[in-house]
Amino acid sequence: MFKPELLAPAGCLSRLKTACLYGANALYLGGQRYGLRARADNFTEHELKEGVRFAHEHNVRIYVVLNAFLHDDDMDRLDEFCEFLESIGVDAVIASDLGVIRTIRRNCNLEVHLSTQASCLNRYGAQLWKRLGVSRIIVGRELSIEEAGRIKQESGVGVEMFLHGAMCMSYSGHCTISNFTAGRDANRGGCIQSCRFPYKQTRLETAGGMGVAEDNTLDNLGEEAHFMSSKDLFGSALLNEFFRYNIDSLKIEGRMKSALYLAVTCRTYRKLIDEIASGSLTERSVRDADEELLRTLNRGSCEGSLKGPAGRESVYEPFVKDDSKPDMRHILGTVLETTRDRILLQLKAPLELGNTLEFLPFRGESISWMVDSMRSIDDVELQSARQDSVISLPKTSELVDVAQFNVVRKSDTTHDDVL
Amino acid sequence: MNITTYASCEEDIARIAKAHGASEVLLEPLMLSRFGHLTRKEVENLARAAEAQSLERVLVWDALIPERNIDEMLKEIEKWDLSLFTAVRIQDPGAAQWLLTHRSDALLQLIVEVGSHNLEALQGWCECFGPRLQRLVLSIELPEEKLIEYCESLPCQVELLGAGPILLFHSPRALLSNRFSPPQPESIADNFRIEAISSSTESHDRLFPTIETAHGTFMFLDKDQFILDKLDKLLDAGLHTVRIDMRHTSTSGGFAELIVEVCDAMQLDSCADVRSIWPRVTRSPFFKSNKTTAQFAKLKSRIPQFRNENGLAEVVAAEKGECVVFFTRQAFDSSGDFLLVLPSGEDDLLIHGACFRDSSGAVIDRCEQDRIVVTQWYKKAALGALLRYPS
Repeated sequence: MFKPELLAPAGCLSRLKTACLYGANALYLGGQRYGLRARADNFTEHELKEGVRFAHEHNVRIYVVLNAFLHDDDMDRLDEFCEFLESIGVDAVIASDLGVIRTIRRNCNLEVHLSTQASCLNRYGAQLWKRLGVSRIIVGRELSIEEAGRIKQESGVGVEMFLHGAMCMSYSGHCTISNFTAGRDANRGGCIQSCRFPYKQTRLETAGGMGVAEDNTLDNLGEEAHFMSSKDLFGSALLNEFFRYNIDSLKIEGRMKSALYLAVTCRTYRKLIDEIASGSLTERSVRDADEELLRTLNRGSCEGSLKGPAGRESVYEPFVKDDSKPDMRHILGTVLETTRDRILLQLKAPLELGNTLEFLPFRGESISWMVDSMRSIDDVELQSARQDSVISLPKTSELVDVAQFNVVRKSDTTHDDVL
Repeated sequence: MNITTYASCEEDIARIAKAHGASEVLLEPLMLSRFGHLTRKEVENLARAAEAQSLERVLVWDALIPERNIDEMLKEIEKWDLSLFTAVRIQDPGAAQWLLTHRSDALLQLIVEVGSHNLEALQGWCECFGPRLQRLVLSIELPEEKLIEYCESLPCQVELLGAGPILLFHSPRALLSNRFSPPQPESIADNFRIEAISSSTESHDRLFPTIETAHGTFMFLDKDQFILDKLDKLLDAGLHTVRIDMRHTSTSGGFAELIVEVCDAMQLDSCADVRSIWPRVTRSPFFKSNKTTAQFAKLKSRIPQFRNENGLAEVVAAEKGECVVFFTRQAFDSSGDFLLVLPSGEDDLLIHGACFRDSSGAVIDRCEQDRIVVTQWYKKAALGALLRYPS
């Protein structure tokens, strides 16, 4: 049976391992240049080699993003980088700019996926990009699943869609607010997220114009509101539709997100996709999955345009309480090592005796465990441990399946600095 | 110099015909153009009027076209007599592809203001559309030096915005009607428009013109692009057309009310005059240089340069006065000297005579990959610091 690829972000080498182990089929990641996340760790060439090796050992494909709108000077040594990517076995590159695509095709045989930055929105656009050498299109987030399916059918090109995570409110690549107001090029990795700001607004009554007030000293701008901040995309309820329209790849957004976000989204979507493919999906799995996935979204959730054009409900108002949202769970740490009788955990949050932890195995149910004993790395018994320390937990019978790189969360915290 | 500008009525056509250097009109129909409000009949009449004045006529089909709209839009364009126009201006590559394969009678003016900021891309579009491509409309994010190079290199006409509003943002979503609650457009054929001013304290309370049409929501900068007084070198390099966009300055519904005055002032070669006529505050942010990536280096740590084959282990915890805990990135022998690169990447600490222990406390000669190793305390060791060979 057809089964779409689950494509996850990898912001650094450790999160690449997390995503591989939690069930992604493919990962997208950036090198030190040419991508859209200037502040992300990104991968050095050495790490790219190591990442490809690790991913391929786990049958996971690697796609490298080269999707910034590059200027001439930015393209320096792009040809060499493409050759390098091909030499280490990268499976595809993601590009949005015709100049980049031509450079790739001139210097290597890497498969090229068209970034959503290029806003390919219709079947004729897909035909054109196919002619220019693109084998897969990450369609604009403005399209429905049915429309993406039609593009695939009528253009013969592979189609990838966003499934989960934060969204631009603008057509991708068509926002230059950062460029012109902050001197940082959003389309070369410097977005200041102006769409997340609150704006005061006043309506003008001069129909037929271009929104220019005659009086530039308006003092009646109304209340602040987040009119251009999008809720996060949440596509789990539509997974059957992705299958129905043969969408090749389902993408989780978030190269800057935490290991917990990756672990939860990958393992949960992995389970849902596998259950749909095997015909074993139950209402209970869907309900449980939704509860898990909603915990990963910070700005509310919506289906975007996956069913039809995104409407009023897709705009995020941060101060409007959403009662349907389950309590957030916060990352506690990552298992760095396990021995016969101990689990060594790097803490990302403080921990005390009596706290309840939740270990997330790569597959299967999470394991809750109340901390009744912990020791320092030097084997000193502890009552509490601070953030950014490494502690040792006893490998009790409940924790026997806990493995290296398992992510652990706290189930009884309430602070908001999450994911 | 050829000047192109928008027209919305016959008075505009008459004005443009009189304006020095103006040789072309841009006509925006309701369904096909992002900001258009003219019916097909109105556009055709204006095209005929422009032809009578020996002006070139460009049909503006600059909407981005989600798949859900493409059939409706193609049904519309199939009704048009494209022979009335000297070219069709498109932005969506799908529209370009359709014209290329379905209408052999239309020359293309491709808007590449978003992306295609390099010569390789621009040459690629020229090759892709061949002789059907009449013109490329370039981005104002490109500096003068690059624009000169492109004007000299490209085999097609080149156009640049000389004066007019700077579009910051285009969303397909109905963001103003969401806010102000009138009925939303049901079709791209609806003549629908809401105008507003948007202002954010994070953007220093600047007033950004914002409009919504059936094609989505658009926000503009509060100041206009203006380089009409800086065009000499570009014209020498072969810049074919300068666009003057005065749609937002309309007081009576016309889009070219000031075109004669602006063009006359340009003929007089009086920089101060041209700028003083322009009704809005102006700037040309990237004309001299584009430094919008200059801050990126400051945002990043320098440590990635050390995450290479010499990078051995990363500090995952530091217990003051007691120990430093590392997680190994690769296997290495624990004898010899090492350097510890601090998290900022700016300073190295020499590690001499370190005693490495595994997580059980046993002293080890060799550290394996992906394992915890522990050393004695080093004062500057901090989370994220990187142990490396001193090569």
